[in-house]
This record gives sequence, C-alpha cells and structure tokens, in this order.
Amino acid sequence: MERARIARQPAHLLLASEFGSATLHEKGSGEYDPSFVITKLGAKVNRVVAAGLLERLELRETANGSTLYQGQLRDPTGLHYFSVGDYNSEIMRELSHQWVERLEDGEPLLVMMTAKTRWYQTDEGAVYTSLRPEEACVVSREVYANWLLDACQSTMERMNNFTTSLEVEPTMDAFARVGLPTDLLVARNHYGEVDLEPFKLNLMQALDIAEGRLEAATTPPPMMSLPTGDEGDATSSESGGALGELLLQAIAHLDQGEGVDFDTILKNAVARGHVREAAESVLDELLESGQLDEPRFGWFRVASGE
Amino acid sequence: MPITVKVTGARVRAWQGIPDITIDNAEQLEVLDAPPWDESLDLANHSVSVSLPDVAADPSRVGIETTGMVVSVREDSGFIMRCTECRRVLRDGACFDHGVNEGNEDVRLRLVVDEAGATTAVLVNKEASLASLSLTYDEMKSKVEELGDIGFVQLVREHVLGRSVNVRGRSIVDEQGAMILAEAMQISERDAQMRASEMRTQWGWS
Repeated sequence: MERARIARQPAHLLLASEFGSATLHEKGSGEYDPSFVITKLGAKVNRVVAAGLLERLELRETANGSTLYQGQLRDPTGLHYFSVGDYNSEIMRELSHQWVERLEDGEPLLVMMTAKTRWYQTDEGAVYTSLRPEEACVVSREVYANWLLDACQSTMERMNNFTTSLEVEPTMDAFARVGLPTDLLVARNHYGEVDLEPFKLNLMQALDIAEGRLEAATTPPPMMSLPTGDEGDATSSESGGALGELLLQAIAHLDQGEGVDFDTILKNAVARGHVREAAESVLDELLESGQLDEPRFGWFRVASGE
Repeated sequence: MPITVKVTGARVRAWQGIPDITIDNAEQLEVLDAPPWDESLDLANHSVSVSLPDVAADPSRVGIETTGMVVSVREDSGFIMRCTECRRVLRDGACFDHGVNEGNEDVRLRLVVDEAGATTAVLVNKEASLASLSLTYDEMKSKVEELGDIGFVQLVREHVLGRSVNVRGRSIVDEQGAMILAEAMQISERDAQMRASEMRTQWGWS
C-alpha cells in the first residue's frame, strides 16, 4: 500500500488523423508502468481529449460472454475508434447504452471524451490505435468548435517543432539543447520521412468547420470502410462523391502551379480515413470525367473548366 | 487601519506555499505612511497569473490563478460530509482520525485540469462550485435528488468537460503531484469564429 503512487498522465489534444496514423508505442518494464502511443509529430500520449460526431456505436457480445460497445468518433480529419467494456465505469456504459438508442433515432451527437490510448497489432502485423473513454459527454457546437481550435493549436505546435527539428542534429543532446521534445526524435527515428502536407490540410479543414463554413460537423459524410475487413469494397462506390470532393479540394489546395503528385494526393485521402485503393479509383474517375487534368504523368491538377 | 509595515531582518519559513515570518524584536518593524505599491492593487483579492505547467513544477504558492482544460470530473464531486472535528471528508460516515460522526455537509467539485502536457488536481470550494454551475444550494440539492450522485456528476461533465477554465486560489505541490484549492472558477467563454480567424492570420492562411 505504501508504494509511491504513479503520477497521473496528462491528457493531450489530438485530431483523429494524427492519432490514427501512429504506429509506434512505448511501455515501461514494470507491471504498472503506463504505456504510450507516439505519433508522427512526436506527441507521446497515454491519455487524450478527443471530440467529434458520434458516427457509429454498437453493442457486441465478446467470446467470453462480456459486452463491449464499439464506436467511431469523426472529427474533421478522420475517425477515432473506441470501445467501452465491462472494465469501464457504470456511467460510461450507461451513457453508451443511451447513445446507441439516440443514434438509432437519427440524432446527431457531438461527443467529447477523455480517453486512454490503446495500441495493438494484428497477427498479420498491421498496427492500429484506438481509444478507451474514461469520461464523456455530449457537447454543444460552440464547445466542440473551441475544442477543435485548441487541438489545431497543439497540432500546429508539434508541426512547428517537427520543422525545426529537420535542421537539428538527430541526437538527444542536440534536441534538448534547442528545447525540442526528445519524444520527437524517437518519432523521427521510427517514422523516417513524414509529409506535413496532409496535416496542414487537416488543420485548414478543421478551421473551416470550427468557423461554421462547412456543415461537416453535424452532418456525417458517407462512411468509410473499417479495418474489420468484412465490408469488402462496397464503400468505394458509395463514398465516391465525398471522396471525389475531397480529392478535388486537396488538389486545389496543394497545387503550386505544376499540379500535385499521385502519392501526395493518396496520402491526403488516407490521412482523412479513406482507403487508398478507393482513392485511386476515384482519381481515375475524376480524370476520365474531365474534372482533373494530368499535365504530365503522375501529376494532377483541377481542370480549368473552360 | 490597515497599517503598512516594512519588515527587515526577520526569519522566514514557509509551509505549503504560505510564508511564516517570525519577528524577533520591534526594531525589525518600520511603520510606513503609505503603501509603497499602486493604490489600485486590492490585496484582499490579489492573484498572480501563472501558467499551469509552472504551477505543477513550482513549489506551493498562494494567490495564483491559472488556465487549463477540464479533462476529468471525479465521481466524488458534489455533496460531501466533513468531520465535525477536523473537516476531513468522511468515508462511510467515519473520519480516519475521529471515528464515526454525523459530519457537516459541504459542496465541492474535484476536477483534473491539464494544459501543455502538465496536470493538476483542482478542488473547487462550495461558493465557486455553485457559482460556476449557476446553481443555488437548494437548486443543487434538488438536482442531486432528481439525478442521483453520479447523475449529478455527469451533469457537471456536460458543463465543463473539454472546456477551458480559469481557477484562482492556492497550490499545494508535493511528490503526489500538484493540487489547486480554488476559491473561484470561471469557464472561459470563447468565440470560435473569432479565434479561428485569428489563427488563420497568425499562420498566414488568411
């Protein structure tokens, strides 16, 4: 009983694209040592505050007879996957139960949650991150918008640190000397080259939504496929419209005169939670329908329309 | 009254951020004609703004205010019973030191407020709790009767979770972490539209 209490881990503000694209985790050797997910931008997180539109929530029976709520929370940059199980507080399970019913009634629910981060690897070696909410509630649009801006600010700070770090010798000492978090060095060693463009695009999108320019905060865009693998490719046809819009927007944003390369476009789509293959085929459709030009092989731009 | 004095050569100790000044003889005191600071300073209500990471890293302090995001409303927020002898919160109707006693009812919120990778526990006193929820004592009583203890906690979450708050009071920092005893709490009212355009300008995206 007299063991020193383990200090509480602070919560970080993360948008879904940054958390969802993380594949690195770290755990201390002791049984009670906290575990962390380390993102591409160098955030080392055990706990997050996430928010978004509750897009799906289902009650599942697990193999051992316990119950598990599985859900998705959409923010402007993508999806958070979360689960609420028997290990959660009674009020968290009660809330999940209520929200399942409200979702079935078609009510849009903006949800704020404090959650523990989880990292897992499938037998095939694919890595996923997910959340286990500790506390949650439904929030107003204004509270959501302000949270979104706070999260944008945190993300921007990490992006700026990342950019600064490119000029710094990649050693712990050098990072510490210029005041950069050493977690960022760990992230850079793991992820190698990171393209900041998708993150920047995410922030632009988030600002639009926080300002109320886009209605995406309260009207869910079409579903993307889940990493459960049971949907097949049914999603590619039904999400083509929204995905097409996204691609056109991304290309318009990123084009600096010579078009945008294939890889950057697809990375942007994936960062927003779309399947790469689906983005490829929609890109083809846009080209065929004349909405996009390919001025040289593998480079795309929005057709002038004249 | 009040009289302003200048103290020199006294012995100073501090415990939990509160200085303890021992004056050994009258020569150490000098009575001043007027306060040496600006008259607009209201000492009864004075606080210094400190960033939350500094609150968590510094020793205990009195008279501070700080801002952060509420990330947790603990389930023992709401009505509590305090020991009639020592004000410690009763557990199952008993005080750790003074045994079973009927206790005195009190109200408090127990929050966790985080900012920039630092975390603090925040205990909000009765007046500040009621004020921040815009409830009178009686209104809160009937809320708790209507919703139950946990239902009330959930109501508080709907009010503050994920929101930026400014708290004023004193901090106690020890090996268990940082705690703020708050005598005032203000939920920040922020205009998202305005903030977004300020951020665009700052980032050169406008």
